[in-house]
Amino acid sequence: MLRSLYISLVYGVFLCGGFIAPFTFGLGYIWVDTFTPQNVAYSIVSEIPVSEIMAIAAILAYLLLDRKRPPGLNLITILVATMAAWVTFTTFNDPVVPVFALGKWDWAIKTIIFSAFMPAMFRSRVQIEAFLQIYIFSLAGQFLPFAGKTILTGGAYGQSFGLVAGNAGLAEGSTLATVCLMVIPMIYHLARYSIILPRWRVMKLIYAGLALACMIACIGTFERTALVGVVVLAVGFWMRSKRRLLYALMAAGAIFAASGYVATSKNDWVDRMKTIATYSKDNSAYTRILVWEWTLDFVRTHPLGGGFNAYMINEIKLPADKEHPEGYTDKARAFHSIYFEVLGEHGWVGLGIFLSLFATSFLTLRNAALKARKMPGMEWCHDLARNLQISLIVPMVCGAFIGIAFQAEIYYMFALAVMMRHQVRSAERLQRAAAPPAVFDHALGTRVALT
Amino acid sequence: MIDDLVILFSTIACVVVVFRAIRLDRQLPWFGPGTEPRGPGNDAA
Repeated sequence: MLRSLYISLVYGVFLCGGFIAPFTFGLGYIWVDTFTPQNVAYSIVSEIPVSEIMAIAAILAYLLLDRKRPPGLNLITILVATMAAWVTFTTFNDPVVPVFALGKWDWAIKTIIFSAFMPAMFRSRVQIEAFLQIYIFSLAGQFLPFAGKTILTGGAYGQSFGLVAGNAGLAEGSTLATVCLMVIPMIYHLARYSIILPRWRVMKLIYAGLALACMIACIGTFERTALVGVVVLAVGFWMRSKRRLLYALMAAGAIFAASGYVATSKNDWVDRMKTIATYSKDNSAYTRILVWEWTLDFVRTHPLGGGFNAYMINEIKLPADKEHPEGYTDKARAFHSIYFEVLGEHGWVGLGIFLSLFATSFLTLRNAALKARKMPGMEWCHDLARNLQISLIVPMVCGAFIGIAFQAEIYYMFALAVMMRHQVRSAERLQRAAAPPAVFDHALGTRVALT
Repeated sequence: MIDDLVILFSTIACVVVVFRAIRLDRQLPWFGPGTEPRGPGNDAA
């Protein structure tokens, strides 16, 4: 009861804060979406539609009280809106499993629409940083207990060590591992450029601890996707490093030592990771390949997709194993890949929009980083845009093995790309306004200031 | 025990961020240079 009362009070803080500064409602929505107080508490907040209340309050407060300096129309927002329209079309245009399609559409459409709205709500540097801080500290509710229990028990495959149990959302191992790796570059940025929390040495230690906990939780999931993600993250940081040769040598040494350990040792984690190389003998991994083949066959007859949860009609014939010497048929196997998930559910059009969203977001962040680098006082923006690029690559690669195409974490990344673009464009506008008026001098071939 | 400690840490951090963000967002310019607060604990300012 005490826990429920306390969490309800925190929910109340977000609601009250929203009446002082409307963007706090947006922060409350992120907190509800990530920390899921309705699942952590036993009563009060678990009995009311916390997410809907916060989303409606955020949208109303923005429309009525806070419509200043919104980001202009941009390609990412157009693509997100198109995605929302397209998934609605595939849901209501003869889906293969209507009831289940409607069930997933109900939460996915909210995620998509709110992500299109987020850049209008988080515009200033403080608001963007508050978004990141709330996201990371809310996520800590999942990865900190996971890391702690991994240290105590050694971790295990398929365990729910976080605050929320189950096999969905952040309670699912590979999703948690991917999201943990996504936020490490954000934590790295906040440790250096946070303005909301003071830059005391203890804060740097807290951020370092959070990053370490993310990594421990990620390894503790025993997910093969996590290992792939760690490599992606390492390559991402290496690419932006100034001492590439030194780090390459250190990485080579680490890989050499790790491969020696893997070859000679025998423990659960190593045994699990070794199955990456023998995926055709491992039913879990091999089934994914068969599901992906089924999806490609399915879209030949359904090029517009089968609507949400279309995988439920699949029947996968698996080869013989010890338990089934004759082989057997498995039904309703999930896509286990964001790309095949979108392809099977929303066809080639949906996949095209989805891939365009990733590509546009990545290029927008790259563009923002390049522009911010040349602007005095915008080092934070340059650093954040570069770190978000690394964050974005993690779900692009890890997502190839997990079905999280409509999880909020991916759409937050698209929204953050728009926010960074808005920051840079607004700073450019300010810079132009502050510069003395100039005219083009044909003799000099350049613009010269009027004095 | 671990869960309760984590809930405490996570929620207190969120509430602190909310209060600080509301205050700073009113004081600092939204865009461009000069978005760094001045004062103890912000050595870069």
